[in-house]
Amino acid sequence: MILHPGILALLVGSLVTLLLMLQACWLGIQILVRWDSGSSSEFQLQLERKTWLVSTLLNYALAFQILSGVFYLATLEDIHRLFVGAMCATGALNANLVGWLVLVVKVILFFAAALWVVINRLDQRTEETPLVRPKYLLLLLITPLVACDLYLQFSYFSGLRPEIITSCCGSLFSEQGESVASELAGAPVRQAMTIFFTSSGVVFSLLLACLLTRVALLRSLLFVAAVIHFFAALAAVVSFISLYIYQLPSHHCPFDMLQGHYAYIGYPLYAALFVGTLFALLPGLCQPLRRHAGLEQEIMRREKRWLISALAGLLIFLLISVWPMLFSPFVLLGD
Amino acid sequence: MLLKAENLCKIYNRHQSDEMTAVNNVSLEIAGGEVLAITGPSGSGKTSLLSLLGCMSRPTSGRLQLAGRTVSQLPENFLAGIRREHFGFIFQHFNLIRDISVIENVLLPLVPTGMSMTQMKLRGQTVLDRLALGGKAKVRVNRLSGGEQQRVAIARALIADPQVLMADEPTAHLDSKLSAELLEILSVLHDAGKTILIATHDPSVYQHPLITRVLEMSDGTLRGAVRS
Amino acid sequence: MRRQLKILEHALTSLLRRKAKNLSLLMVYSFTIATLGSVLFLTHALKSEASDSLAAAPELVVQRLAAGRHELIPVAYAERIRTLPGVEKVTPRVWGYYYDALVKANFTLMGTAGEPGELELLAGRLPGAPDECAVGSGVAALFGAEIGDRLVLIDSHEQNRLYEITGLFTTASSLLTNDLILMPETTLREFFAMDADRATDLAVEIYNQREVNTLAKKIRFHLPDTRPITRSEILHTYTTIFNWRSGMMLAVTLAALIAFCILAWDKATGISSEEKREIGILKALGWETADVLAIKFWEGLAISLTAFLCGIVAAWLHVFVLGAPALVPILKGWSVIFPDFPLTGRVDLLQLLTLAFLTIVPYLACTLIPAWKTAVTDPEQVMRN
Repeated sequence: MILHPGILALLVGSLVTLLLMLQACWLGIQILVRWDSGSSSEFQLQLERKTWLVSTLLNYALAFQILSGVFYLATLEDIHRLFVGAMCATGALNANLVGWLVLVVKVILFFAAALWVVINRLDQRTEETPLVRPKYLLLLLITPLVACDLYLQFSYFSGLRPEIITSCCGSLFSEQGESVASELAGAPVRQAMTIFFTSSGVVFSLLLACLLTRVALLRSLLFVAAVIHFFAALAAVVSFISLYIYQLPSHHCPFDMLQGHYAYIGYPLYAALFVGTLFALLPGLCQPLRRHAGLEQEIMRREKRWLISALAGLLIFLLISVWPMLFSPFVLLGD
Repeated sequence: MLLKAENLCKIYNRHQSDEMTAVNNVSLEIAGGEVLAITGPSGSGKTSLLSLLGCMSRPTSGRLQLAGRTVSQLPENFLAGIRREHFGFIFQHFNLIRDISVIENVLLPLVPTGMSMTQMKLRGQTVLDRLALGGKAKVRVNRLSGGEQQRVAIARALIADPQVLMADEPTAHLDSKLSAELLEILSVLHDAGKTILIATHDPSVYQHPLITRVLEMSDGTLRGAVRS
Repeated sequence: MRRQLKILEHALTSLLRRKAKNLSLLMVYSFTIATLGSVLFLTHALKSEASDSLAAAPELVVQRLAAGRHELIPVAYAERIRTLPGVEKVTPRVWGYYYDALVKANFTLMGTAGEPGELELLAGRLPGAPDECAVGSGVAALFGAEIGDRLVLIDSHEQNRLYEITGLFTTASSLLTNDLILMPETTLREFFAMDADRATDLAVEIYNQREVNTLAKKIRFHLPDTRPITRSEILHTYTTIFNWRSGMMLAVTLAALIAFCILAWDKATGISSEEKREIGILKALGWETADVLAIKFWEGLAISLTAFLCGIVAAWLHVFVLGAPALVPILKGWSVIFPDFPLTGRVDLLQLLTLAFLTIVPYLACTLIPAWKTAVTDPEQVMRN
């Protein structure tokens, strides 16, 4: 199974990422132990220069992680044909349940790495670089995740047995099943819509409010709302958004929309959701950092851009979700 | 006070066998609009001092203030920003990029600023016109004469309209005619309000009427009127 | 954004100024991508050709097993299967393998019960008389035979049998017919000394494709000594084999990739003094480490994308225009008669992503540290030179 080109490429990419992260970790430990911002020694200067290497390594690692996430899904789509009973990526994931874990780890890594990059940029733009220690401690936590990602991917792909009959999304996401996915699929559509649109409304209101005022509480609320909205959105995709995209009342699969015959609409949909959520989390996440005057300035400079990016991302997600509801001939809620 | 240095020290290869103290406990004050000449033999530490004052490197110890702000302990990327905004450098060997055109060389300091291309080109042309190089904007630097290259180096130093111009042995590779030309240009700039620091061991420079103060550097220490 | 665009412009002009060094790197990079790309394109094209060809195969083929090995199947089983609901048609097929010691090749002999006529992919006509045959282009090439010539085969009684070639399958159908010798069914039965109540296997056509697995199960239930094979299973096997072969070849070419990465590292670390001087000047003029890192990133990306484009174009030409002459000798080892058919050019996004991941990612990773080393050049050095 491992010798599939896509799988080989994924593993090579993940291995390269891990090697970069280990290098970053090694430098991070040196920096953590010997950093002295008050010192003018040559050694401190060298450490400062090494922080640029760590930043670069992390930037590349983040980029690879994002691409590998997309690539992982594309590979799952390609190999699903090898499994009896599989109709899309879900089938491939069900063939070896470790695959779901890989997906979860990749999502966590995306947010963790992206947050590290943002915090690092903030810190580097501040004269006193006050976040050096917390930043590199965080780095030491992210690296094991990357190793975990590689290990789980290897475990998943090497554990695939094409002769085993797997279940397709039809059974996983069917309303009759007993899994969480089935619960979501079977949830009453009106209620699911209400939750989704309410959480969207709350997030958009908070985004606009944060753009117009400087109240710290709003940003913290935005953080909470964005997290809730993220999960509500994913649930909504399974519950009813997918139905409108496929124009079938029983097709709840969140991965089929990544395929060509649905115009790959899944990619912009999920990309908008992830990017929008990331930027919506930032103002709230950076609240504790505002104690420091230098960081406060930097955050103030960038916050507007974050809020607008969040608005744009979540708006695009909403548009793509709502478009088939409004303009397709499919009618879910009888009128 | 524009620039204020307190007990600046620069030690290379510290704690190693070839340790060298280039700048030894130098204190200095420079007011805006001054033209300061730092003289001394080769190896006396002039270039190292200029490098410290111009935020090109960090001192091993001591403090440097620019317009009241302490800059000596700033991270490298901040020093780069300060150099961009406040300082213009004329190097001993010009240090132009030979395979690109005059205008491309001159605009290099502005590239990281995010200024629009139109604005950059306008500024570049203005500066080149002032230095009688307007017609040579697109010419490759390696096709210019020594005098023209010198003027390109000056144009590049002026493009960001810096407060302070630093010149390190500017006449070292010039004949007397070109040296006189250079000093003429520096005079004009001084009249326009620029602060100029020149490291030189050329008497025709430090004895020129343009110079408002002369300091002598010897074995890393400074002698002369260190206060403005 | 503006700043990045200007830095990009500077990076590109910088690359163009160092044509010699970058050109050599670009050539090796493109060649590496072309190699990997050829492997991927070829195996993908073969896989697609195979699955397209299979579209014409029967949905279900029923074989008989005895002691776990393939045995001739009683024709009477066909009657039994015809009674099952959902079965449209059952056709007993007579075919087998023949090894010719003279040319040391395996042929597939197939019996046809159809009328002698013309086919689109057949030059001449199908065999009608007992001593006639039609052959695939690979067979004809081996014997140097044409329409009208006679083919000599040795039957199961060690007797020489002569068959006149009435038809030649065109190269367009090579994948299916390359090693094929078609003759009337009765002739073939005589040749193999096969009884009239036996057949090699049964081809089953069904009304509803979705029923195929259920029907296969039913057939196994009613006729326990049979092995029903569905078309999707064959396709599945082909796909697995092609993936495996593709992966194997890729794994081998990974050695080339590693060599390339070492070269990339070497080139990146071996920065010329002129380049070092330039970076020093930029740093002295107020460019930050991040700006220089950006130059290096854009340079790396520009080289990567250019090499990628050149590489995939070269791979495309190599596989789909020239017929993969560099790879075919390797593949030929797996079968004596290798079909010489034109491959349909097809490339999908996943292949390109795979190629990008296998080449661009390692290249950028290899150049990261050298790029950083360049970017942290001490600006003061410029003062000292």
